[in-house]
Amino acid sequence: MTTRISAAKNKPTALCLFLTLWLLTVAHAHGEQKIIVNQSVPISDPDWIYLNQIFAMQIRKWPDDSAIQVFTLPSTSDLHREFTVERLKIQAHQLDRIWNRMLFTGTGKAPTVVESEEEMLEMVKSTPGAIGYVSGEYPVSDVKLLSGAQE
Amino acid sequence: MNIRLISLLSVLYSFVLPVNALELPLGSEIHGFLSQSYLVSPDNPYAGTDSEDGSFKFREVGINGFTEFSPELRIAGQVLSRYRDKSDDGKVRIDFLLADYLFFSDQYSSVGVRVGRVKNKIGLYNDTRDIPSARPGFNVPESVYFEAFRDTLLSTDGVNFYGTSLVKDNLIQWELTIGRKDVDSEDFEYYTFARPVPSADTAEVPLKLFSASVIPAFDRDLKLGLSVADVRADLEGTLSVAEAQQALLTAPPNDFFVNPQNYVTAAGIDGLLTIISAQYNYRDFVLAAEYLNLESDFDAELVGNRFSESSSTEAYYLQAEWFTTAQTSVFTRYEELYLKRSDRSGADSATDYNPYRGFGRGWTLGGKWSVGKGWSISGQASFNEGTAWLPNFEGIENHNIKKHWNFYVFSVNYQF
Repeated sequence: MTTRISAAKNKPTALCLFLTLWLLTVAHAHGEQKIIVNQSVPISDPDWIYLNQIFAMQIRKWPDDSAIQVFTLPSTSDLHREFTVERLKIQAHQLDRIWNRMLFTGTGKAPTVVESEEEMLEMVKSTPGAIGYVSGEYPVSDVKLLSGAQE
Repeated sequence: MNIRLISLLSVLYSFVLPVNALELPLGSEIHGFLSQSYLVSPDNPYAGTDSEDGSFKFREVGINGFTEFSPELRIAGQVLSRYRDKSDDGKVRIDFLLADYLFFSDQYSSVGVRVGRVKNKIGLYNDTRDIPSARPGFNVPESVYFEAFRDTLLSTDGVNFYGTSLVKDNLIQWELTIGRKDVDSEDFEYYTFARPVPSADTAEVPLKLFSASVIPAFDRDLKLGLSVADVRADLEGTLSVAEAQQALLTAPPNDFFVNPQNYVTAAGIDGLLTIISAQYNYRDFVLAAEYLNLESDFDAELVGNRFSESSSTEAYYLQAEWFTTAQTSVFTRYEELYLKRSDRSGADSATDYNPYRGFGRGWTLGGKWSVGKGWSISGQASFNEGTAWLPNFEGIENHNIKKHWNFYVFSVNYQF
């Protein structure tokens, strides 16, 4: 009873705390992810459907006919899961199914999995046709940053 | 376990240490999987009698590889061993082996062709029914993907055209396949006669298939699909009319009526199969529903005398999967199958040893935990009434099959 009264008294404080917590939860833990491509890649402003198709391994080559090389972090990583939902509008488990289906029916392949953002940047830098992502605050150089990638 | 499976397992084992897929030069990769299950079926013999007390005789092993010569040209193949006690002997077979050429591809559309043995994309699961990581549980929904037509529909040797188009943000995918294949005829024999047909061993299966799916612009979480397959299965190696007459002369008086399968001199089925599919992704949930309609014309000759019968088979399921965390998921499914749509009680399909083979209704509950590094463990429980999807095996006719039956499976899976 006592607790309830004090909670009611502190209503504005509780509300602020709740709002802060809520904002912390919904705010992207990794900020807006950066989508990075090798400097050879001839695109700069893809829409999300194009990106979705690329990461779903449904499109095999860039407009200049060079091969697309997709890199991802492990499906269980938080950054990967945020990236798929926010930028590709697809759940990570759906992508896993799509990749497994292609791999085990001979109709395609899965992306190359890297273990860290550092390795991601390194691979995208050094692999012609590569595309990948890192978190918003991760410093990048010698790769192309895709500008739009919005709706 | 035969020698070939042991060698396949040892090749697989040699890949176990480097946990990621092997990457070879020239854009090549090798992948594989291994699934070992423990199955308990206390009520009815599931793929053999060992399962009644619990059996480890359930194992799937596959290894595949591909080479990309260019973004347009690739080859891919997979060998697979599926061991299910007496239903599937674990013989290593070529699951697919194909060359794939992409004619055209841009941001909005693509068209290509595959030649060789290709998996048939029918409904949501036919092409991945043997792949543990691509199906929700131990089995694909057994009502719509029932075992009798498994081998007939799994893959075909022929040509497969495929394409995608983005039309006003609606993503359309389609496939067209034409081919033929010889399959083991045991399932066919049990489906049509409920017993093995003497001396028959294979069926020749010509197949034409069209499938298409659309992910509509108004809701990209929705996927709708339609698959239509025109298939024929002809039993090969049956008795000649003279042999059947000879058999009839030496048989007991009523045997022709009791055991008509012993006098089959020709048999075949024409089937037109349609599956309508819907899948909806909502956050951590995946909801799926499919409906099957199979129009079949069965024709046979008993000692040279022709007879035929037409029937409509109908099935559907509803399934919900919940991806509770990044590593864990659970699912539930309800399904029904009627071999003859107009005969819901299955009376027309009843046999002496199994009055319940014409229908099936059942619930399945299951879950999966991805432990990491490619390993996962999964379990499921199925509660069934009617046995339309109870797997057949040689000798099942010597058991009294029960109407209500459950089975429970626990599996360990590895994939690289």
